[in-house]
Amino acid sequence: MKFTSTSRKKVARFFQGLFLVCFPFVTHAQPVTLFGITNVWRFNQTENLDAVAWKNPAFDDSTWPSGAALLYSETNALVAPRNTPLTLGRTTYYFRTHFTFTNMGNDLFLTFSNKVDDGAVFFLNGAEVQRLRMSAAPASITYTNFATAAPSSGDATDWDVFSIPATNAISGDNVIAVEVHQVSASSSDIVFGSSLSVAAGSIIRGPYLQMGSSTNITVRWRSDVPMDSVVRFGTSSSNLNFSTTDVAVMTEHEITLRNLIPDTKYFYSVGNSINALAGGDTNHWFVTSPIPGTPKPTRLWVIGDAGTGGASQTAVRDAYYNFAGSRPTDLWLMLGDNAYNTGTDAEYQTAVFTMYKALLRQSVLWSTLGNHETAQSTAYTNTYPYFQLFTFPTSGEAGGIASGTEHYYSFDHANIHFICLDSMTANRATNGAMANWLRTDLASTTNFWTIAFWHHPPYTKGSHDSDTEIELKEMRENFLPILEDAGVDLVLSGHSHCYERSFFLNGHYGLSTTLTSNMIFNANSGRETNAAGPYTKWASGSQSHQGAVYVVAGSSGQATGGALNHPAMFISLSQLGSLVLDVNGDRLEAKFLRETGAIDDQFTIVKRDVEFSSIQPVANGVQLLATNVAASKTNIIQTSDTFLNWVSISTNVSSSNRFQFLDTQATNSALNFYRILRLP
Amino acid sequence: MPFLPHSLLAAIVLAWLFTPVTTFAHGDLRGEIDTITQQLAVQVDDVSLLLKRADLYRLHGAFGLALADCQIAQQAKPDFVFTHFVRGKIFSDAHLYEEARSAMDKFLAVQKENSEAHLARARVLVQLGDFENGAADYSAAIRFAKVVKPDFFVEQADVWRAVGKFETALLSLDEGIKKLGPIASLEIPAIELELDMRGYDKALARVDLLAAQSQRKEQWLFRRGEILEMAGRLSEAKMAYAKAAEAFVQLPLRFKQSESTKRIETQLAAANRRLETR
Repeated sequence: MKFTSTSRKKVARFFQGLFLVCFPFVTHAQPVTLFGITNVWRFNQTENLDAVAWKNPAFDDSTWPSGAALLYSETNALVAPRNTPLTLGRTTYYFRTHFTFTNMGNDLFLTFSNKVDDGAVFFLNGAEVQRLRMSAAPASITYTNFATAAPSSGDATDWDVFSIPATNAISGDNVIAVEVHQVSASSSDIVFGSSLSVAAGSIIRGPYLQMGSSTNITVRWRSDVPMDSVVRFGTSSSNLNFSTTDVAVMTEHEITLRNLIPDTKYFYSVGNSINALAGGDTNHWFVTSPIPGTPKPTRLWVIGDAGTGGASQTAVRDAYYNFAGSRPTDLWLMLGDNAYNTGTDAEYQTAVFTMYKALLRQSVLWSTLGNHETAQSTAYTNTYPYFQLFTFPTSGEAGGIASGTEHYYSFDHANIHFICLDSMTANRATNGAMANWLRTDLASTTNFWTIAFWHHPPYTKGSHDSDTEIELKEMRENFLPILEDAGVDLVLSGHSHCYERSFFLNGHYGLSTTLTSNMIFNANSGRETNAAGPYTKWASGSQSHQGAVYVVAGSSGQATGGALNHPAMFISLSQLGSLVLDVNGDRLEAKFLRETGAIDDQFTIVKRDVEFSSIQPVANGVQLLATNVAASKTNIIQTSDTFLNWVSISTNVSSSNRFQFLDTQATNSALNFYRILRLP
Repeated sequence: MPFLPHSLLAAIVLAWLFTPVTTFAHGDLRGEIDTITQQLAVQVDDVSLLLKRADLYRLHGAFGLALADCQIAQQAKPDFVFTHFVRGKIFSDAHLYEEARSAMDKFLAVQKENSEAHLARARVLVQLGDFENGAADYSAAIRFAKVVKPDFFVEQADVWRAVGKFETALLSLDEGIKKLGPIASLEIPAIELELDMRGYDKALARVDLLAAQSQRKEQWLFRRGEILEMAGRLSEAKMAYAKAAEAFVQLPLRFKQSESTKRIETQLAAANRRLETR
């Protein structure tokens, strides 16, 4: 019988007898205790039973003495509860007990929580199920074999826990037999006790997708009881004909699927070797990235400082879900402070894994470290829960150059190169490891777009001030020059709980008071609906210092205002919302999506070479219209009637992405050629 | 205000006098400090809260308040060794390195396997000029860290390099490379060390490792030429420079004209001129 979550009803009707524990019905995801640590066991501490079938259920152990656990010869008071003394002097001690199942499920797991000093072999109904600190199978274990080690703390002060599928358990009476071995002939203690619980394994977190590339993806989830890990997958939801397994028994599951086909939709399920516990339907799928460098329309969702876990976060999420409709989200970025207040596992459960359950199972999530992930600590360690929860590249697994750390990394998706930096705990010096890695990474990429993200914004006057806070100042001073030199297109940050979006900028590395007009390459909106049009960069020309947009998107969980008057910003809003990015070939469109569904800001960056969109003879000459003009850049129109000797007839610095020119000298010429040049 | 020994007060005042005043703060600390202060109004002697606030005060640069919290914590729970570590970090940030070492010594005498504390004391010892012990602390920090970072090895190598122990410095970086792979942030300083010791072939091998990871090769081809030229292998250097020049020619225009590529192109041209005369 397989229990569904809806049919499970907790039934606590079981009783414990001297040797009989009855467990009638497993009905709930929570583990149910079959017997406790003080369970009574029959034991034998006088014989070598190598030649005896003592493990078999039918063995008559009625002549063995009995006693409640812990059964022990131990002086360490921390080993508790001690109930039945044993006598030292044997290499191996034998223990047996019974329990009863009256109703079986086919997805049940038995969890043994043990106090063992030193090693042990466990049998269920005569079949070996587990070894603790004994030579690994298939080595045979006899009376004279010693344990391979003592407990890690020296004595049985800690629990040895393992789980097994309940497939060996039978409806009715079951027998557990355990042989406990000393680590040496001179061992000064012996301890044994075990409690047993049963649960229908279920998933309590995820599945969620990590570190996606064109060929690999990592699937993670958490189960309520330890079990092995299996991801079954295929290109049809009705035929998951591939699988990847990790036989290690655990509750934190992490499986990397390899050798996938690029740009391909896969359906999947997650579970254990017995059952799929989630997925195997049309809601659980992912799409592998295209081959790096290959343009493909790409949708990104960007949220910052989202993790309040309340109505505001929910409203921002739902606005995006409504906006996206059936359009899949190819990947999403979290800009840090993903779970308030200190980024604990429990806070992440509420603010991330429960909040975004639907998106997590379909779209690869990437994140950067915020100050609330570390509870404000600047210690550069991996001890924060964030690093246990997420899997990020350290060896260039998803493109880019290996960083050796999950604190900062890069990856490729389609024709976009993403760079994630750690503005909170990593060394922010220009000669630090992060900066040296960044230079190398940028000098390696050949991708068309470069998007960088980290938590502390280089420019903000929201709930934080980039003129007064050290992390913001150092990221601006030390990392923007590196990024702009390599032609970064878009920089995303959070931290300030507002939305701020810059002009098309270059070279602003000082305080806000040092911003000058020549650092603003394009002072327009960057909106295509506006006459000035989108921000324009060369497609084929140098990308270095050609302008970038800086966005603070830190209002995905709360909007807390601020002066909102940074002069580098085209727009500053104290409104809840998130950022939606659509990258399609040479176009990058960004929208600030309010929690109401309204779009309060948008801009576009296009990377195209300047060209004449029309050349029209008119009464007094030839009217030329140049488009894809990069604002603030010098453009020279030249003409020739031979195609060999070119003469400059106009030099133009436009404030928008287009300009007109009337060539009045062309009137009497039969044939004119024109070309337009852009200076760097 | 809890009692502070005169010597301690004097030290704090001296530290402030001689420490450059920073106008830059860490965001969000004030709110966190306020929150903990409210909690402490109820849980007056909660040592973990006191030490947490002390650490936040430290990050905020309020060293006197931070030390005061440590003092209360120590009075409330004299045997709690973490107080020494927090105090050590405060002294370190206040540039009182002898006091920092003393506090960290007390902590590490008990918590021998605390990687973060070994790392913190390593930095303090380097400031005190005790490079040997500083390097040993880096080793301990690396040994006890659950996940090592490139920075540990880079910092340790810098210590050894500062005292002229290039081979030992290289061993530090190679230990990192062994653990983390041939990552740029370790291989680049390793190349410099190899060159310090005239280990040209080894430097070239490292360059090749980096080139193999990179989609664009031009900077590494140029670096090969530089190293070969340093080694006096001029014909090979010419060939390497020629390959670098070829890579630059083939490089799409959009990757050219950055400061870094322009710098390499300029250096490449100069190298070619230089070799023509030799």
